[in-house]
Amino acid sequence: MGTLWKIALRNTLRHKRRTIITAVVMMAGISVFILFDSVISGMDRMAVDNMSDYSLSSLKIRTPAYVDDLAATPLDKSLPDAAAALSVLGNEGIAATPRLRFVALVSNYSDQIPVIADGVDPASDPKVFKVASSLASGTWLGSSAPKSVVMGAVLAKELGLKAGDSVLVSVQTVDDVTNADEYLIAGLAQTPDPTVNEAGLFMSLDDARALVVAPSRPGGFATELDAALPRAPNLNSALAQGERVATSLRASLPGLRVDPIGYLAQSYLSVRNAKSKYSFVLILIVLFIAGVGIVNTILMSVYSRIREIGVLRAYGMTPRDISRLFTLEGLALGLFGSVLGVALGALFDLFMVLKGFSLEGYSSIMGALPLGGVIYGEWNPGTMAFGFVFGMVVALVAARIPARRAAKLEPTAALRFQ
Amino acid sequence: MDSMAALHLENVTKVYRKGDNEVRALDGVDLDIEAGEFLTVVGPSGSGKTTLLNILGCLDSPTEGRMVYDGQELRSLGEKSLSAYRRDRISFVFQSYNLIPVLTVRENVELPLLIERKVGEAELRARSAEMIAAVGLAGKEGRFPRELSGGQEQRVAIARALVKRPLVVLADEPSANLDSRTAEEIVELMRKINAERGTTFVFSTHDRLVMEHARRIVTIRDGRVTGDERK
Repeated sequence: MGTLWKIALRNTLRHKRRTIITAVVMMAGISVFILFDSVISGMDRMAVDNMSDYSLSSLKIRTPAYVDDLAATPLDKSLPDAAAALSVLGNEGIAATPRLRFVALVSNYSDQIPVIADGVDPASDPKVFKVASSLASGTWLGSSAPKSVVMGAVLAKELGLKAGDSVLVSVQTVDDVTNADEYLIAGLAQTPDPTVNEAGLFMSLDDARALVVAPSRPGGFATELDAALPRAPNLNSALAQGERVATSLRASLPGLRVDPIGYLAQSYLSVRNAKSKYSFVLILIVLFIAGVGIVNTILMSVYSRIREIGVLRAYGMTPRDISRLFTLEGLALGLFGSVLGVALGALFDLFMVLKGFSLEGYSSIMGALPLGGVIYGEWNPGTMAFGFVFGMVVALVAARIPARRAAKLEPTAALRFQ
Repeated sequence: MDSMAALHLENVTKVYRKGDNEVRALDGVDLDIEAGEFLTVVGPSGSGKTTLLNILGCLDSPTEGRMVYDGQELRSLGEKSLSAYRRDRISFVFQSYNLIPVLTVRENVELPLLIERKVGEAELRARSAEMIAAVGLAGKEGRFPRELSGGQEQRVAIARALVKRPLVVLADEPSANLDSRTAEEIVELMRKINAERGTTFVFSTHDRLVMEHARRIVTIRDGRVTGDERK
């Protein structure tokens, strides 16, 4: 086997141009796959992080009846005792905040737009969400400015409003009676999550409770508790962490639903799984091209060494040994290409993880995706290992075709070959 | 006929089919070759010399007839057994040397022993060093074939052929690509090895020089042995 390896490796090095071209194709395929996977994972991470930070939170606690009727945002199915549930989360060391979600109509006294509004606790909300720190203008809600709102910048623009203007908000109360009040626009939110920018309206919990005429309730009137979990190293571990914490909390919060981000962002995540399949198809296509290159390279090697094959057969090498010799050449090529591909992919990855790629100026392309700012790559050793193994398997399969052809050569015909 | 001879061919016939045509490359050849012979097969082009050497070398099997080598009947052996037989008993020297270009002189000489897998590292080194010295290439062990002259390449091919101590060395026109002086040296070398080691040599040749050194000349024409002259 040592001699076969020696001959295979030296032949691979002998035809440098052929080897370099094939290895470069493999390298390109594997490194692009690693980069693609890193960027896609980074985009997913950013999208899910943005949803957690600006609209969904890492974990929501609601009543099962509320979730069953979610589209209607039913105020009568709000939390029975929000303060008790908050205290359970506090005991677990989890930052959480109550929210009161309701459907509202926002009007500039001439036009009106329906929105999903949130009553928030101005003090604890920034510990879970980042809306307070993402204001394009004005200030966050506070006791110094009662009866004020923060609204999405795009929504404000559509209504021709700016910070300092007044806005009319009308709702159906808990008792299904129409109520309305006027509020001062304290600030405009410009976040990476387009749903907040286009339809976000935030007011203090007290103002919200007054507007929807919430009945007094132990622990205060809130439709949900939102929690923040520590940042995990990657998306999969973030999803796993959410599931783990939710499972543990369900035991402490009987009668309530605890939904982690994996459930809350499930429609986005199902698209993500489809994207992973596309990236696999991409590597399949590129490595198929590399595989054709390997078949071609080794066939050229077989044809240029037919007499050599005859000599080896004359000296007693079996067809199996000959086949193994050319298979090893394919593996050597695969090894060069795969190692270089993984190395280059790791360099691309390193750049994306450390420096990232700014999405500024691409917002029109991103559309409704919750993406903005600098996108960072995700370090994924599993993808690198897969790229390497896949490259080797492609090389092995590709090399078998010419290797079998070489093994079938009759020694007399091979020795006669000119 | 002596079936106890080193190589024994009995009524060996080889028929090739080319479309609807049949070509009888060998037609009822009987031949005994004793151990230690220095034999030349001569004849015009297309007479069947190469086919005979291929059959003697177990690279090809006869359509009819018996082959007994060193007491063993070979006709019925399959490809794997023939490969093994070749590996253990037979060596070749080719007209165009056919060294493995990516291996050094030493590695080329060691190749048959590595394929054979019968000797350890120390003996492998000792035998290759002995053969390289015997063909006058000591000091050139690390060179690649492209760094050698034609004569030197053929010497390496001879060392490669002899290193495994074969029953027989089959040489197909070994001097055809060499100038007359180098050809003389190469034939002298093989003659010397034949005398010192008792290795059997069978040549196919057109070269008068090789014929002059041969102790037996077998003439072949139209696939039949038409002459067998011993000196």
